[in-house]
Amino acid sequence: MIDFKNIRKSFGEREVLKGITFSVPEGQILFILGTSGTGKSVLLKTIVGLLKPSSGEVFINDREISCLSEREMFPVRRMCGMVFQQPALFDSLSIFENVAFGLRKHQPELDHAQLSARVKECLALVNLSGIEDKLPQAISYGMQKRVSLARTVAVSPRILLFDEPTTGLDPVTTNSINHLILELSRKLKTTSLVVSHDMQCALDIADHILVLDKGEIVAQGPPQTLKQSTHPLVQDFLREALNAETAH
Amino acid sequence: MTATLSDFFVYSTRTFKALFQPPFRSKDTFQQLEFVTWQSLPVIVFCVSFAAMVTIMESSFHMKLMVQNDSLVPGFASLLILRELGVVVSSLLLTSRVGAGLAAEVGSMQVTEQVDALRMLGIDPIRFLVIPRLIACTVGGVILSLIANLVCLYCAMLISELKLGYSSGSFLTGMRAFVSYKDLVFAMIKGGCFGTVIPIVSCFFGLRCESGAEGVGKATTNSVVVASVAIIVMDFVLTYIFSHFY
Ligand SMILES: Nc1ncnc2c1ncn2[C@@H]1O[C@H](COP(=O)(O)OP(=O)(O)OP(=O)(O)O)[C@@H](O)[C@H]1O
Ligand SMILES: [Mg+2]
Repeated sequence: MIDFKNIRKSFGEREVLKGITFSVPEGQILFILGTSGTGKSVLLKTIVGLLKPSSGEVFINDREISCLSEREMFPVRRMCGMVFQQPALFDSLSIFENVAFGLRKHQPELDHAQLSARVKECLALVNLSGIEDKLPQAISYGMQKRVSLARTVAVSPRILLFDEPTTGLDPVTTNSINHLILELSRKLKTTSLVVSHDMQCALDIADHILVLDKGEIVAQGPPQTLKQSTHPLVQDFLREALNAETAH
Repeated sequence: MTATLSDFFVYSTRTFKALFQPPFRSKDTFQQLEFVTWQSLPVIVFCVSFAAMVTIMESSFHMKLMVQNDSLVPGFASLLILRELGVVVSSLLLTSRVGAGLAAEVGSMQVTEQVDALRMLGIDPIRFLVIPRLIACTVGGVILSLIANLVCLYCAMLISELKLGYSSGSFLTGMRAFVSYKDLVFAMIKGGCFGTVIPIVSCFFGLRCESGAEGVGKATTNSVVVASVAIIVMDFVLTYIFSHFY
């Protein structure tokens, strides 16, 4: 359960988030849509304390986290997994070591065989195998992005934050990743927050959609409600989704 | 400016605290030490040799001009080399080589969200990234200042034999009249202090790097400028402190 209460965030003079309030019940999928630069990534980072809000409160499972120190945040972050907008793979480590990195830290009891099996399993989830020994620089951007997804999923977080997980990927992979998000949420009851530009996909798999514009929520609700929205930005997104559908 | 200074103060305090908290990443530290010391050695040896030769030639030229005698050159030059030249030149070279590299490395990790990814896994970027580099640079600074000074003195001796006609014996006698082992020890302490400043400043600018290639460039430039200025100022302070021990 994530509760966001009147969150504001400024960088210097500039206010990026202007009083955001929403909540996500456990096991649900929330899609956050918005144009570039509206503060979606900032919003996601505020949830796990990578950025501190200027004012307002963030509750994760009824615990206020925005005032916690870096050390106190550790158990909270342990529950959360974040797929960053950039692949953010550690470039001095191989793909295997990248995926194993969090596992070694969170589950030190795993022996080498178990670790290696888990890494392979996670890479297979994102349709990658046989690249364990390569360095991140040696694989394509889309593959890096998928490895970063595998790395996050590997530690079985209870809350998953995805920052544009499918941007820059081909339609087939996009589909399989959306499917993966849905499956994690339905089977393992993982709470997911997905930042995306893809209204079609949001309508398909989200339980709740939130549309941000210039740091403010302009529309929110389940897909059915959102379809009725008259806000011009939401209309634009809906038209885009409709076009994509008819093009198929 | 004040905000930056207070950030720097908080960051440095955290860094020194983290220095004494396990786990110690010895493998990474040794890798960094190799990068800092062994890989910087050629350029440092090359540059300080020339600095030593210029010092000898210049002081001999001016001594001859003023007092028609350059017999004090070996002593004076050794003093200058041991107290200032060897350690300052090598530390400034280390700043441009290692400091710039560190700022760019940590800065690009920051802008590509790798630092955030570390924090998400409950890993403190200071302990993970800064501490191994801090230890490596401090130890490297001590080692490099020792080597740089010895190379400097050797080159000075060589050039005074070849150009000024002092045998190595008379060079050493002249040197011993002016310097003592204390000078070498103080030089190594200076080397260690300068070596500490470089990674602290570089990682500070790296960790607060703004996004984009421009951000990384700015972080690199700032770190080199600030570390160089800090080294020059610290050199003055340390020289003043050490002057009470002669
Ligand atoms: N660390 C920071 N310091 C200063 N400004 C920042 C910082 N992070 C983000 N911003 C600013 O906040 C605004 C929102 O950024 P954010 O990255 O959240 O956008 P976004 O909605 O994720 O856009 P995109 O779809 O392009 O990723 C931007 O204008 C950006 O310049
Ligand atoms: Mg973003």
